[in-house]
Amino acid sequence: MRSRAALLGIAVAAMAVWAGCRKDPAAEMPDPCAFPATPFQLDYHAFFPDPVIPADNPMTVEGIELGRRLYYDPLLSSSGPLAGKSCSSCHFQEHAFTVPDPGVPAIGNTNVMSHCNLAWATHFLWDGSAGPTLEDVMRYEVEEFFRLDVGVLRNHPEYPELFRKAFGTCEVTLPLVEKAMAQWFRRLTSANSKFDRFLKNEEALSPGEWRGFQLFFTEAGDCFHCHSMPLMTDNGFHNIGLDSVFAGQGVGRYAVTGNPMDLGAFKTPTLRNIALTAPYMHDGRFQTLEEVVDFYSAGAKHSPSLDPIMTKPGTGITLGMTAQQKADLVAFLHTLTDEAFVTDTALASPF
Amino acid sequence: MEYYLCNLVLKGAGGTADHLVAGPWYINGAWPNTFDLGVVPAGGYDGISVDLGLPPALNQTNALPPAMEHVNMAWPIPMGGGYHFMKFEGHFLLQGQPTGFAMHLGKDQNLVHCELSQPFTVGIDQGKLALVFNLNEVFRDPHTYDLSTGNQSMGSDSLMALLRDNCSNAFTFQFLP
Repeated sequence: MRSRAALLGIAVAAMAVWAGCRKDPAAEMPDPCAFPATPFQLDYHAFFPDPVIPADNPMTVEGIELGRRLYYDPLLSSSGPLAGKSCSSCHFQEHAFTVPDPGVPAIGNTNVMSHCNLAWATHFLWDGSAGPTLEDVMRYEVEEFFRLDVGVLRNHPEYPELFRKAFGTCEVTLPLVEKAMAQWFRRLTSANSKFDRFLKNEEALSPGEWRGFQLFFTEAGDCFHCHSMPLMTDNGFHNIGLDSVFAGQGVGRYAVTGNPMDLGAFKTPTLRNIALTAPYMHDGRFQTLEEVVDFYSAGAKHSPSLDPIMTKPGTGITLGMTAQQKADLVAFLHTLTDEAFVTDTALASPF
Repeated sequence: MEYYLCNLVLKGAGGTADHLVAGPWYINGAWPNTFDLGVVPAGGYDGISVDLGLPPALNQTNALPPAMEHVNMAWPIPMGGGYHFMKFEGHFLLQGQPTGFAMHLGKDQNLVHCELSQPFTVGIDQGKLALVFNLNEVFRDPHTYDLSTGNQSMGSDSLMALLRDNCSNAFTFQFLP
């Protein structure tokens, strides 16, 4: 018995060695779908925070290029109720990737937000109902907003090859569409305004811009608490006193949290390129920066959920700025325009 | 509610050396906050001290890593630069009407030093030190803080001095072996 057991043991060992030496013919065949995508390094100032880039969706040249094409291609909506529309239908580069018209019926008359520096954002849309990552937002945009039929891309003469180069796979799937678009949105980086150059000691502000800068970043204007440097947004939600009664879309963040203290609170929009993104506020109620500054100076309304920051020393809610101060503040806001961002051909339509 | 803590010292007693952990630590009241004190020598301690805020070397613009929580705590350059030591915001009732308050503290001279005398013994096993910030004390000890006349502190050195004094009495701790 002992000897049979020993032989059996030897046989098993021999088979294992043999199996280990076998070569898998399939393993020698190159993967016809593989492609070494080129890593892309996002360019931004050292004083910017670290962007939010998921480990499973690193930015690549090919992924960004695919996302760019999808952004500008009406094919994205061809099977849904928004047929004929692309992201770029409402997000024009010359307006920092927003639209100058107040409200778009498809999204319920809310003002279109700028696609600028979203690599640093964590909650999206005016009420923060999308997110927390850009991939999550793209899932909403692709599957619910545009209702993309991915078969349209699979059967397209060019897209499958673009997906192969971006992701090293012959598959075209909704998650890959969303990843490519998320990469593209992260690419939309604005960090070369006059104000940026001022911060780097490369360019001086005019006297009026300088006075506006002082107003912006002191209690006199008190803009900085919500529009904090360098992104010019705190990524937070605030009721700034636009209304005292809230209904419909005016409830803002409350629609997501159900917290009465979030009534009338909306996402802080970035002020980068703000001179190009009129109209203003979640409902586009203000047409000019002057109107916006007038509101902060004298028009805020009380409500129980009014953001504490809006209550000024002495419990008032108005800044009472002079005409000169308002003009200076507007002059400073114009220094946040990034001409390179709105003219960069790498961000323009590939079609 | 956001603030920084730094320079936590466990005060040694009976031959035990003081144990300093410099930090800083960013604390946000929206979620639980824990931080590691490293290897603390076993022995007896008389209590702890801790500073609310940032030491002068770190209280300079862009001195902290450019993480989102830090950039949102920045104290603007035109107001001296550095960081908010504390942002404590909320609402209070003024003549029956909810009214906002923003207790913001910053500037080197307002670094809050807290001395907490309470003997405890650290064994060789892991332990926890639970630090509690009693927000009521921000408004009452040693100064009675009147929100109706000082609901915004950031632009006022005198109001921030009141907050600094009061915050120094606002912490308690418990050592959990």
